[in-house]
Amino acid sequence: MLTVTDRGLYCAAGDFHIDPWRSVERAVITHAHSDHARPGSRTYLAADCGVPLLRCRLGGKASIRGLPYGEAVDLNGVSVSFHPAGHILGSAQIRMEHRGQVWVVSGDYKLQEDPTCSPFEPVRCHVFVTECTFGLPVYRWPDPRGVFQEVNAWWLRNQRARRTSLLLAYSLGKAQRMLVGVDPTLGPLFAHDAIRSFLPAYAAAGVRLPSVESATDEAVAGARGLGLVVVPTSAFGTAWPKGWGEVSVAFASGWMLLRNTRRRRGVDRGFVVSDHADWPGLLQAIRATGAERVWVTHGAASPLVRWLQEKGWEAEALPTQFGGDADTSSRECGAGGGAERED
Amino acid sequence: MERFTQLIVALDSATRAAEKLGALEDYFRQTAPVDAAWALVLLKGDAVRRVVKTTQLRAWGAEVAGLPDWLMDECYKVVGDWAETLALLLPTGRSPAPGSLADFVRQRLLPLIGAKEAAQRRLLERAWLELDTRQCLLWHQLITGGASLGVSRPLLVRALARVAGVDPASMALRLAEPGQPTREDFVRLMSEETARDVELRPYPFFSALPRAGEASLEEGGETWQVEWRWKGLRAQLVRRGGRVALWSRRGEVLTRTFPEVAEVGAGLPEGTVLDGELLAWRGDRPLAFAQLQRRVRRGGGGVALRGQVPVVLMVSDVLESEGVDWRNRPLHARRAELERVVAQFGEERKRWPSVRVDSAWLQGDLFASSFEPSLALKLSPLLAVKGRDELEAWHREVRAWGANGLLLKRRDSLYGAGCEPGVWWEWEADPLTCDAVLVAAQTGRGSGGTLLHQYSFAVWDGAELVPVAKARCGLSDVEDQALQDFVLQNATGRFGPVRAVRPVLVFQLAFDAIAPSARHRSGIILQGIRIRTWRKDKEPTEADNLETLRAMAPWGPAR
Repeated sequence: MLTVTDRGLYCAAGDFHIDPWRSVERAVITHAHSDHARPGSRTYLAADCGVPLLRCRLGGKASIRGLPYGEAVDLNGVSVSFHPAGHILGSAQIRMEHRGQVWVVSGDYKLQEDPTCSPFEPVRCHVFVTECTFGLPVYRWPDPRGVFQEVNAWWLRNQRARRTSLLLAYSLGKAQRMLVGVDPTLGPLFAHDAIRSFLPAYAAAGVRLPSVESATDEAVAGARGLGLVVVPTSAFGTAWPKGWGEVSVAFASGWMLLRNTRRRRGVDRGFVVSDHADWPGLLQAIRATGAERVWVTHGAASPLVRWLQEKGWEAEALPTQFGGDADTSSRECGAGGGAERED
Repeated sequence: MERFTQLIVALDSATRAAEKLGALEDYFRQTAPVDAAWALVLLKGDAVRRVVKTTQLRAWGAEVAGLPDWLMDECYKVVGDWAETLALLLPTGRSPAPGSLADFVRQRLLPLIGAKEAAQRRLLERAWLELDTRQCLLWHQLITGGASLGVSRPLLVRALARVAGVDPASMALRLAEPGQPTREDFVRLMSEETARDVELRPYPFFSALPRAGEASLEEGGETWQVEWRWKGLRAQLVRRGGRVALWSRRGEVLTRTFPEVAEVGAGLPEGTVLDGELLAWRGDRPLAFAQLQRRVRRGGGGVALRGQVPVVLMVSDVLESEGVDWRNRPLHARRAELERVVAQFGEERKRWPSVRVDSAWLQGDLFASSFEPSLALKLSPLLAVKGRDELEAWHREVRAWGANGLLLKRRDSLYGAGCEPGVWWEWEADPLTCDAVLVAAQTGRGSGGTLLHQYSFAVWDGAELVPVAKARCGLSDVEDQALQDFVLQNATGRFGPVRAVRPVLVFQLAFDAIAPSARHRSGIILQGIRIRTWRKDKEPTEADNLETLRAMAPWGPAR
């Protein structure tokens, strides 16, 4: 059903690509993150609730068609439908059925609760193509409620010490999740405009948002020592405006689980919140699909592949865009420098 | 236990020293003495040695976690240490275990010491059920004798000094004395300052300035006292009030770290303070600085390490003799007094043959191999220098003697404090350099397996490239990033964590010494290696030969 081409996953029968790396005729998109949704293709098909975010990414001219979760469309004899993935608002798994064979491409997903998007729904299939960002047993996420309590406590402590709280988070998905999760009664909330630009789409989807002001130099300086400012991860290493006073910097990411990544990032705190499945989540999802064949992609795939093989699945690693070596993609995600990489 | 765990977590995540200090101070102010006493023992890090072997911990942990060895190894590669890997993998308790630190140590930690394997395993499994993940990490670190729990001794000293309201030097001295983890001992540690604390204070150190040009030696050899400069630890040996203290320049108390030098102090007359350099020493030359550092790490090490790395105090000045402050006398007078003190020490020691000491050297004599391996006091030899030519000759040969430069001191100089220009000069030896080709790069542990940690360099041996060194320091961030990209794009093969690259880039490496090595294919090892410059102007064929490098090695026994 699917093959890997130089432009990404391709379904020959239906003549469409999934999350292609380059421009194609027909692109079927799992979610609006920039490494999955790229401009330039002729037409796009995505889950309904993800279309507003996709439009932010792809621009007004792109031809995007939205499909509600669960509804199928026929593409050259292949029945295609979207199902919630629980990664970010509008994220979806793509189900394809053709001549009795069912394949599901998970896109990025997680099993944890998240008030900003519909939760993951396992879909029965013969072949499951899964992401693998955190494909090692050491990755086990703590309860997000506990983590948000830690964030609130950190914010309070900073206020007592008259330090402005700076929270770095990936600008689409994570940042909004953090804004929704902290206690807005503690103080004024600010966010970089890149993050605020997505908020209308969240509001339209029915997510209850606190009031978030734009993080201009003056605005934050006005609330210096009190405010919590959410900024994109591309802001790592930049010098903060002097008007913001003393600053405490935290990073919300699954990579913060490990001390060495925390140290390398040089932040004051790390909060373990991820929009990807942890190891138990990956295994639970794979089992729930009932698939006998598993393709593993988007992460350091080899340990998971070997584990699955030892447990009786037919599993293999798919090459990704980053040089054909699944391991280097984790470099981009975890250890890379200023570029925005999701986590 | 939980409050101590929180302290360790705070220390681990603090990026500024001020935060660590604050966390330590809060802890010691608010904790009951009986728990604080144990916390201090654990933070000092030298009392609880390795109780459980890491391999054992790993094996039992793998069984409890139910994971195959290869998967454990994959996890370890990304995490970087077993204590943390296991803490993350094991199904631990949901909430932190209650109870005081003292209870925890007595019930869980102490029983492990010397217990049989089966008993150890039972104790571990019970602990794993009770502790939560963060406590588990701390637990693993304690029992494997691992990391220093995120706090250096000087920081600990400052924090305790603040809580007790005493001078940090007094606290350093108090902490250096052996103590018991009891309530009484801790209360005594926190008591007010007394004369006893002040008695053993060192004098401020006087230091040489780097030679800034051709200024020195115009006045001829009589004005200047010339000695070798050694790379060791500058120290003062203080003998007063029937006690001995060995101080580093940074105010650390090293008396118990170097007991052989403390013994020397015990043999000196009352009211003596000597200034010198601590050096790892064997035969007639110092060992590499890295060997000395092994002794300093973890507070001294056991008897075996002391045998492998004997340490001496190479004294170059006397600051106090017979209770009198000698700093206001000129150097030539102090030197005479120093020679007298050392000679007298040697005479007295002859009556106790178990500790032998060398006699003062005459000026200008070359070394004879008359050193005894068991002595811990040496007199810094003076070099006979009549003019600039001789001085430069000594400077060129500095490495042959195991030193790393020359010290020039005005014979009329008083012993001041800090630095004064024109009085004492240090003249470092030029580093040795060679041009080598980059042949491989290696990922480090705990970098997620993706950050390149070390680069391997090779020189020509005939038509082949032979690796001679691994280094990383010396590159700017920009260069390092460029190199990492180059390696990823030009890898020719992969052997575990090592990526071979096309040998096209040339670098100039700087190093302090070459020694023969049977372990390495090239037959040599470069010490103190660092990258000096990226020679973008050179072709790989212009890199150095192994023969050239071998020629740089001085005569001397293999180490």
